[in-house]
Amino acid sequence: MKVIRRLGGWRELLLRTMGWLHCALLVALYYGTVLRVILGEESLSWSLWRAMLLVIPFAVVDFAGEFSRKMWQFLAVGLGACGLAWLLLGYPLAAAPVAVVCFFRGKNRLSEDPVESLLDAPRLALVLVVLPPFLYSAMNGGARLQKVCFLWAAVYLLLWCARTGLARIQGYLALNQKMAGVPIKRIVRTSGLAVVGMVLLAGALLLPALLMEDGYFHIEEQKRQTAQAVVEIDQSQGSAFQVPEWMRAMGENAQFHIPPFFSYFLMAVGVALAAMALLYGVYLVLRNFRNSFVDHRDVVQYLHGPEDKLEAAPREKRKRPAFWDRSPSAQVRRKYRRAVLRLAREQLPQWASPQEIEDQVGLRDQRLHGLYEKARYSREGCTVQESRELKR
Amino acid sequence: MIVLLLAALFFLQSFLYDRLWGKGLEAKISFREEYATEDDTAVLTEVIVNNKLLPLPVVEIDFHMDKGLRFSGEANTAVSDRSYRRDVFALGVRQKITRTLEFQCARRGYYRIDQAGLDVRNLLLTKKYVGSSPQDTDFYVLPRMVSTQRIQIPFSRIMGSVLSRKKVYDDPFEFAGLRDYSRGDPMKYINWKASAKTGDLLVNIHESTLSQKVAVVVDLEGLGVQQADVLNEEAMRIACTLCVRLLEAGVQVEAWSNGLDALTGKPMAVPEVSGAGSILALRKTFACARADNGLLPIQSFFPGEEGDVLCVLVSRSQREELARDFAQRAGKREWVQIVPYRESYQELPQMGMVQRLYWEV
Repeated sequence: MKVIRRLGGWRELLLRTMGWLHCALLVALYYGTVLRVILGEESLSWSLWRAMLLVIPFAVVDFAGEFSRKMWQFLAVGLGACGLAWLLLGYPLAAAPVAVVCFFRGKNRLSEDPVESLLDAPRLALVLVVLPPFLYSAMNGGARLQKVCFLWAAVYLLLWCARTGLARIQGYLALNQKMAGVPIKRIVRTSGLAVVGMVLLAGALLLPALLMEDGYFHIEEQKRQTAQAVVEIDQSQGSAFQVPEWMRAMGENAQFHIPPFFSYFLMAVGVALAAMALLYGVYLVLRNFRNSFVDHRDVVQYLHGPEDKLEAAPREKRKRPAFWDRSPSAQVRRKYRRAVLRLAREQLPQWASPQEIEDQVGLRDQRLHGLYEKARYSREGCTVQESRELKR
Repeated sequence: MIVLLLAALFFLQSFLYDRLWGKGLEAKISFREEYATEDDTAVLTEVIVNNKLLPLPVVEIDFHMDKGLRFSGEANTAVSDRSYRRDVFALGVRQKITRTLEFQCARRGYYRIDQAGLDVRNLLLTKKYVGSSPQDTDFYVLPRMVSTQRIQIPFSRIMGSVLSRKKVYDDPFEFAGLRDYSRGDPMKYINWKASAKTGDLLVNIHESTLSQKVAVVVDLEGLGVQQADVLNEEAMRIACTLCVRLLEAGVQVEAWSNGLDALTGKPMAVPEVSGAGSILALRKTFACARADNGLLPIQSFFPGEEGDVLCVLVSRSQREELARDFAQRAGKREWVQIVPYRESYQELPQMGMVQRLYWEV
């Protein structure tokens, strides 16, 4: 705990970890590509995973930069980290990236104002480092390497998104760290969950699609008269879904085929809707359990809906009920109107109150009067029983 | 396609916040009490309501007021010409947060908050929205009462003057009780009903009415120099305490000052009040008076030469010219001048019937 506190808390540690992963990803891509060139397609997967072990020496160098008291101690640890990288990957060249990181960390240690280098955090522009391996795979028929390139780019983008989002939260909190009463936990919970949610959603949509994708971009140089390079794009789309026989039979003769990207889009929309429904369900469950609580000096209360709203004034009920309105209140009002019109000999003024109208026409039915006022002016209106009673 | 979908999601979030960030968002800042006395501790309440289905991870509320109120834990307060405060809140979906801030009333005055600024960030903290919310809350810091022991000396002198010249009239509307009839009592004072009940003659006793009026005049000239600020504040405390004591004693009081009233922008004026019920209103008026430079000369607030008013001048000024003007206006009336001082004072010569008191701060 003391170590984490010294590093600036678990959020700072998480950001640093993402920095190590970023370095390891960069090295892993090129390490894997080089081994693919030398040893062939089979070496690709294990070499990538093995290269990710470089996270350990990167972390060691980072910790050494923070915790070593003397420069020579840092250099000794750095040397050890380089040795560890050699040991982990089995090639002396593996120590080179660790040495570069050591150099920047050491430089920051010596300078008064540390400068963030490209090796500290993922950058959007660095996704372009995937281009050389991708072009190599396209020109030399490395379908597996190409798939790895796509996956790598997606993972790196996700890492960049997550790191940028969290860094923004951490930046805001660091800016206001001297302020009292900042609800750090609630800010982190709200914005952090949003970042994590978006990254997870992006990952859930991107990674399965890339894993299922069998397409392959192939650039083939054809020897023709013009000696021009012709780019051919083979894109055999392997569907992830088993199409039913009846649909296949129906579709074989048909000209129209649902484009695969559209079906995937529909699936994504479905997933998004399901996720939203799930989130809304969680919200509804939580709403029933939550109560007011005190967080430091803040009393946090939940607004529970109608009872917290201002009581809505009843709508003005001046117009006669609509023709299709068969509610008990409407029936009572119609009955009253008929009774009044039956007795009235002349036009009744619109401004008159029910009592005035009744006095004028000579209607003496207290029951009808009471029910009419209830139907017209009360909020709840008349009940079915009351309406039926009046009909008898 | 997927990347486009994700980008659309991001922009949808941004669009929703652009449109709806201010919907259902309310901020209300209010002082819990209406007034407090100098050096007391009071409470300010901030209530923020987010009545919509969008969470607001960061809502900053800022407001400013006069720097006489000191918040405990000054971390969120920047004090320069005024006191600027900023607080951060995190509001979930349909949430209401109430935060209470304790502060110390460091200086007498009238404090008002008219507006609060709102800085809201969107879900991913990528955008900032700025707005404001009108507020309507005010607070009086009443002048501290000086100790009874110290005020007793000037108060006794004033009351001595009052009593020596008071004219006693029986007030037929102020019934004080009954006593046995004695020879010489006017017949109109006999209470016939009570006499019939007891069988002995009883007469009514009435309260007397004080016709004496006291005018307290406070000089608030001078601002910015520490000595002047301290002495002016003490002058207000002395004047306020005297007024309160006089009102409690049943004397009619009026108070004048060349200091401007924070509410009206005119020189402080309490035309004529009496009774203990007026004490709070009087203290509030004293709270509103502000010292300043270049105010009207205090001489213009002295009562007229006619009338039986007893005037008490509270001024830090030790100028002979002021003392002479005061004595000249007093004429043969026994007026009182109180001179607060800090380290030393220069004894002014006795002028007319004016009694002069020096008050060490």
